[in-house]
Amino acid sequence: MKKLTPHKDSEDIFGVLYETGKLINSTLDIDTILKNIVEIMSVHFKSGDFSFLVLEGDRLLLKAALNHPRWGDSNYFIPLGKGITGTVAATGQPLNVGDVRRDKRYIGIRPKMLSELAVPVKINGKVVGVFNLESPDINSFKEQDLKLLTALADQTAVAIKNARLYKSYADNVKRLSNLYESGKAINSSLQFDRILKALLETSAKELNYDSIAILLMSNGRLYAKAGLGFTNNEIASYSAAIGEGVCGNVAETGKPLIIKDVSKCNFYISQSSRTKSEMAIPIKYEGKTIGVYNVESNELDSFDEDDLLFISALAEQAAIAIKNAELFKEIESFSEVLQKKVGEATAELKTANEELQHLNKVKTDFLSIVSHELRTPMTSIVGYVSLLRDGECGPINQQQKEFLQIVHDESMRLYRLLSDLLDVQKIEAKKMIYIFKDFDFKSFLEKYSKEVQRECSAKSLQFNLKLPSKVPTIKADEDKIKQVMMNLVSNALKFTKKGSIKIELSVLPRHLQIQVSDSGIGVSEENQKLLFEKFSQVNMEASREAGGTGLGLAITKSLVEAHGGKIWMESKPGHGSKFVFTISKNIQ
Amino acid sequence: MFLFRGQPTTKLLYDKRRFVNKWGIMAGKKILVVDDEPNILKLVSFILASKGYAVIEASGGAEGITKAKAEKPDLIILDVMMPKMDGFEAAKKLKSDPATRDIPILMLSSKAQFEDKMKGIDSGAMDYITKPFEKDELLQKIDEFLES
Repeated sequence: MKKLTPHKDSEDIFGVLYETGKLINSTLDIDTILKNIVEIMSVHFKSGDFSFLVLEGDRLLLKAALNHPRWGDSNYFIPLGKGITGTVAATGQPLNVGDVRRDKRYIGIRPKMLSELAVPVKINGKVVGVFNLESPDINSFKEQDLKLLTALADQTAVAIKNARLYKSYADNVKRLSNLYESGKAINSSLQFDRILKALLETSAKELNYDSIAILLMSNGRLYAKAGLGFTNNEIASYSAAIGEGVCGNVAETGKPLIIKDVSKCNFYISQSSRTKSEMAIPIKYEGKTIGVYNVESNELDSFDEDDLLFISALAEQAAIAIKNAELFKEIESFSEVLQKKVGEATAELKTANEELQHLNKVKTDFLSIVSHELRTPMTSIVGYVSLLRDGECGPINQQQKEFLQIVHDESMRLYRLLSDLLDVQKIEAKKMIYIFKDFDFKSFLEKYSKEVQRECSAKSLQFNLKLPSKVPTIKADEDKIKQVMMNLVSNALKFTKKGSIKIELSVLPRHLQIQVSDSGIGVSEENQKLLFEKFSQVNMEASREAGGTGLGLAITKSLVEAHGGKIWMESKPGHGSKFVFTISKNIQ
Repeated sequence: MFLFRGQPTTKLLYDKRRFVNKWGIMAGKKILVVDDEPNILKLVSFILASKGYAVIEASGGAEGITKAKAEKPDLIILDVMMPKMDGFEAAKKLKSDPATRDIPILMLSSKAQFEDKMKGIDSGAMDYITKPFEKDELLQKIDEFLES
């Protein structure tokens, strides 16, 4: 094989290897590596036939070649176990065949070739391809050629492995970070399983394994969460205490372990009788071990530093994803707890609300009954006092008359307080009934003003009524409107000692507006706001003085609002008050 | 209603309530007052009598119907909340009997809810006054009924 092997001494071998090593280590791209190998071959085996075939499934495919007749034919392949090349791929042992005609394994694709040298390219003991040299001469290949080719094959294997690892690592990092990114939107438990599955699948491609397990720490113990080469039951029952076995050891120290031969490891605890070597790598998150990646093999010395580095890098990415998934899970369960609590609280509130509603009804009923029951004695008191006061039962003096008037007024106030309370109760319970009927506000005011006129005359007040010539008929509850008017007018009368009271009706585009103004004591600006509130202090003080209940304006306000209107007041202390309210023209 | 407690034109109305019968004797119009509360019955009767009306008293719904048939009053003042037969039922009975159908009814009740008023009107009452009432308001309403 003179033509093919120009360098014969061992120095030359090292020279070639050095060159090869330099070339193939300078890149991580498989195609570039193969291109480089072919280039080296073209230099060192100038006119020889060289080919590199890669094992894919049970077929050896031509990936690189020099002077090969089928180069470029994508359909060409050698079945695993067939021919010299196929046998080398199947056994993992190199073959140097001096005369192919005498070898039964030879399948004769290349009729002019007489001798053949084939060496396997192995990664982690697994054949991934075959380096093949063929020569037209008999016994072309010497021991030295075998050594050189084997050394090249090993280097190529490392280069391919590195390239694969790199590609796989890059892919996985991308995949895991994709998972991490997309994880936020995905159900966390599903996400969790996906992370573990991704970790398993991507790592399995690069390892010569019999079984892989991912164990995660929970309550101070490791539990297998996912695995390959196990049944579901085995995974479910697979756990280890911290410090127990290889995994437990790794969990304890936080340092990875490669056990080349488990029979020589004093803390190895057997999971499978077939296991011969094992590698365990901590899965760490922020420096804390959260789990262990454990891989076992039926062969001795299946794992090396490269595997460790690769899995470690993968585990680091996975840890982030796992932790995030756990956080999502926590958030999820927290939100479940929260939901449950909200549900409970809502139920409690509902019960409380029902109780309150019941109490409210009891209160309303009570007030209604009390109000009704009080009417009878009140009627007698007011009725008889009026008779006495008016001298219907015989003459009385001025003081007697005045005192009887006080008894009468206070009794009426007591009764009013009660009926106002009842009104407020009805308004709050939304049980106030409104009967909206055609309502002629103008004629109502014309009639009503006669009563006001009488009251004003009795107090020597001037009374003015201002009505527009035309007022449209609207829908309103006459009783309620009368209640509003009486409330405002009685307030005006109460707080006006001299001067005048004026009622003015005007027609606005969408509302009727009524003003009741007086020349009374007026209300300060800060008190104006409080005026329409129930039992407000300003109300209470003023109303006590003037015989009111402190509820009138609050009731008035809600009656006006029920008519689609608003009520407000304008006043200056000492310069009288003006109460204005509107009611909608379009209530149906 | 409580607001207008002044003394309107009762003096003027006083004379209108009286008329001279065919024997030339001054006689008031006849009013039947039905109320189970003795004090209220006495009060209403006194107010009416002092204004010259002839008053007949009944202390329950059934008695009211009997007296209405027997006495043929010009007006019935009917309380609502009464045991055994309440004012609504009594009013319906009075309105369904041809003998008493045309006698106007004024309800006087301690039930002040709107629904009660509607019920009162539905059962045939002309009007509805809530307790406590001002006597002038009562007299004014009576006057309106008897005038028309």
